[in-house]
Amino acid sequence: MIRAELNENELEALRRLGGDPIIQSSDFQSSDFQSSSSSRVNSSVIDEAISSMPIPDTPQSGLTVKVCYVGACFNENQVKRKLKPKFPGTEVAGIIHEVGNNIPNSNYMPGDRVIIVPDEAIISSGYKEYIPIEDPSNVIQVPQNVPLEVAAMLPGGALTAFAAASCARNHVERLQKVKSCVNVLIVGAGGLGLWTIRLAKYLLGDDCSSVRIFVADNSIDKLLLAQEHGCYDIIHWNEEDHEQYIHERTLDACRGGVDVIIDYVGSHRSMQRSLTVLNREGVIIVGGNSTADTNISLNALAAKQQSIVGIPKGNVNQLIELLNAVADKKLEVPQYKVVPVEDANQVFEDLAESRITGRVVFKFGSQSSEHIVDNH
Amino acid sequence: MAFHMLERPCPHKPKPVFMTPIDKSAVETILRPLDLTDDHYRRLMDLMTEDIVKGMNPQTHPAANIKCFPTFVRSVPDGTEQGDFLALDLGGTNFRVLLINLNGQEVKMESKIFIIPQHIMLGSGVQLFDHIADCIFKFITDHKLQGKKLPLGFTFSFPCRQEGLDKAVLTVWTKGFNCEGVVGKDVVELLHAAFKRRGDMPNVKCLAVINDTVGALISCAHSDRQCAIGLILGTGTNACYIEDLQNVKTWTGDDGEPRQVLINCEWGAFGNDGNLSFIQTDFDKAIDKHSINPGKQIYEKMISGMYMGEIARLAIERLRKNHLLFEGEGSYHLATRGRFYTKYVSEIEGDDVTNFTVTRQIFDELELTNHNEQDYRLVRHVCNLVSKRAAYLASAGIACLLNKMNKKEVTVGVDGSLYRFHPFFHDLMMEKIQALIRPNIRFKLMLSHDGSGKGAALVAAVASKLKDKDDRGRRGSKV
Repeated sequence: MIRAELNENELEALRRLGGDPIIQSSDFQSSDFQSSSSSRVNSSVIDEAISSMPIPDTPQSGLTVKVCYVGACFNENQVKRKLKPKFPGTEVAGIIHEVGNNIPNSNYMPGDRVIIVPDEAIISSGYKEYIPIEDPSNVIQVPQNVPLEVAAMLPGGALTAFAAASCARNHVERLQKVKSCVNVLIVGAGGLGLWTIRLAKYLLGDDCSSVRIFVADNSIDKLLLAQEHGCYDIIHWNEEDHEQYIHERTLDACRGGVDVIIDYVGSHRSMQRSLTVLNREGVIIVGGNSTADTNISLNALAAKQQSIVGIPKGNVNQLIELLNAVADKKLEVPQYKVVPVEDANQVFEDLAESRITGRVVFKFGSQSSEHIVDNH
Repeated sequence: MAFHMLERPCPHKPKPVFMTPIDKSAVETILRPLDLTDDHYRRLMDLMTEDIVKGMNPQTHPAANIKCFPTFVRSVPDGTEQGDFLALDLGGTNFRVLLINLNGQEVKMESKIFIIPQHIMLGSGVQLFDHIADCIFKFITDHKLQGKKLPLGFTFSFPCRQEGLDKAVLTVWTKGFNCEGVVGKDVVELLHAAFKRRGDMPNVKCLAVINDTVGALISCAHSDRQCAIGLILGTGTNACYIEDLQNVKTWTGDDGEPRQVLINCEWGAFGNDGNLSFIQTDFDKAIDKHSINPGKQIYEKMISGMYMGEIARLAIERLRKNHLLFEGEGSYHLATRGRFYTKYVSEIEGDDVTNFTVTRQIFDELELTNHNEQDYRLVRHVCNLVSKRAAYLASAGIACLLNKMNKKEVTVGVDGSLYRFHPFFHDLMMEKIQALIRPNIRFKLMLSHDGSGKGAALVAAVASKLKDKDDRGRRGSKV
């Protein structure tokens, strides 16, 4: 069973968010404490959710973010590598709760909707309802017309996909000078794959006579969803089939061979397949979620003038560009669903078993803690 | 490491199977049932010949295992086939639409693969054929063929009773399909009904429906006129051959020339009455018991790709449980039914025997942690036994057909992943067929690639010619 590493305090907080009656503790301290009735008048009355977790002090020159949405990121490769899901991970969005007294500029106000720039210190810090931020430049305000749950996904999967797609664009543009049609293959039709399809359209345009986006995966369900997201064609890399059959099927779909491959799976087999179908001067862009090493013939690589490139890490400028592209409706967001964070364990288990298509975003305060209902 | 399949097995001195002290007799006891003798294969051939005759006799046909359905295809292509044809290939989760241009010996093909989602494989027949029609429409549009008259050949690789060249009634669904409202119906009619419902494909008409064995035969015959047998060795196994009309007592068609017809054996069902129990191992019985169709397709279950990996897995697991492999330590994957993919058998047998790199890689994928060279050699030996038995069983079937036809020179057109990708299958079959046939018969095994596309188009071409001749004849008689 996959656990999100929640400790007892955290589990307690989750239970309360679920609406259990509140037990007050005498050594509880909070700078923002509000009482609520100890029983419900009727089941439709919603108390303000109260956390047992103390709200951390706001850094003097920084601010505190109240977490509203966290993207769920986990896949079967991580299970194979015996990794647990990171919580809250790289995809965190919320509302500024409080601003420090000595904050350098006054651009930030409580109530601002923000996303947090991924920070090693925060990524695996566990279930938190309030996150103190030392340096305010590590939060970015979210344009009004971008829903907060969408913004949450941007610093994680979307940014990785953006970095990969930008890297791919360089190669596509190089090849477009000598080829009439460039074929791009995305290996892996999960969240990253879906983002990449959308980002490829944003970065490369929609003209499928000169650039064609293909997606390969073992799961037919995921492939059908990828097709709905607008890729040119889908290719079933059925793990049961003979490798040569898979090569044939791929080359059959990608007429003229494959020029650019973005491999989010990075298994030994996916790399070998990629190397087999890759054209001269082609490039394979690899993510960092591999489960195994693979062998590459250096002579073959040199003879065919091919390259293998790691996806560069996304930067803040790209993140801002993503926010603006979504705000301007130039970038369409992939299919996602919002799920109460109480269901985190089940969701991570489902993701590990590849049972989910599309993205999942956790919502904090599922009893809608933004609304205060006074039932006295 | 590159998964380059060797064109031929590399010439090397075979290493002994047993290295370190190991209980050889225990291993042999477990694996011996997979090692059949020529007597077994000859007895199988006799039983098969009997069953084939039963299939073509109206009294015994209903209870026969090898149904021997006449296909209404009377001849192989004569090289004058010309024109543009559409072909459909439905036999599994990947459905193909092809555009084929025939010009004598020259064949040009363009195709597109469409995926059939699970809910359509298990939904209604109307949904299935609507989906197929939709895919054809997309293909026609992409290739800008809207106004063109397009005769269509349909390769429908499921057991059918054919009632005419363009009339095939599905007898039972296989390979994971289960659409209601199709069994007992003519699939060409269902296809045309879907076209009619849409109303936007008036120029597409299905003139012929065949199955993949016929496609393999016809496609091979296009380049080799001596081809008289079509064989499929893939996910399933089946064969068809050219039979004299006088032997087809179930024949309901016309009596004109040529006095022959292609017979679709549906030989996968051989053994359904239990007459193969003399060669069935525990492994075969276990597979049958847990299959979606217990008691059916017995011969097929010992040969084809759908089951080969599982036979190997069961043998490997039995060895392991007796501490003869991996020191008894297995893994979740190795214990999972269906997880030892048939492709592993091909890959392990094609592996380099000095380093066993591919074999090690596969063990890693199966998350086996305890393995040494003795394990690699023994697992390779298991794969050898399983694939050799499959190849020899198929060979016995072909030898049976060759002896029955008794033609001096016959080419066998073969298609399917087992034949195409297994390093030794072709050679094993050549050796075994030679050993089992009458001495005066000469035969060739030829890869018939893409019979389902090319074959369907060729049959549609023949049907189109016949139809034109028919139309002209009718017009002539009105005068």
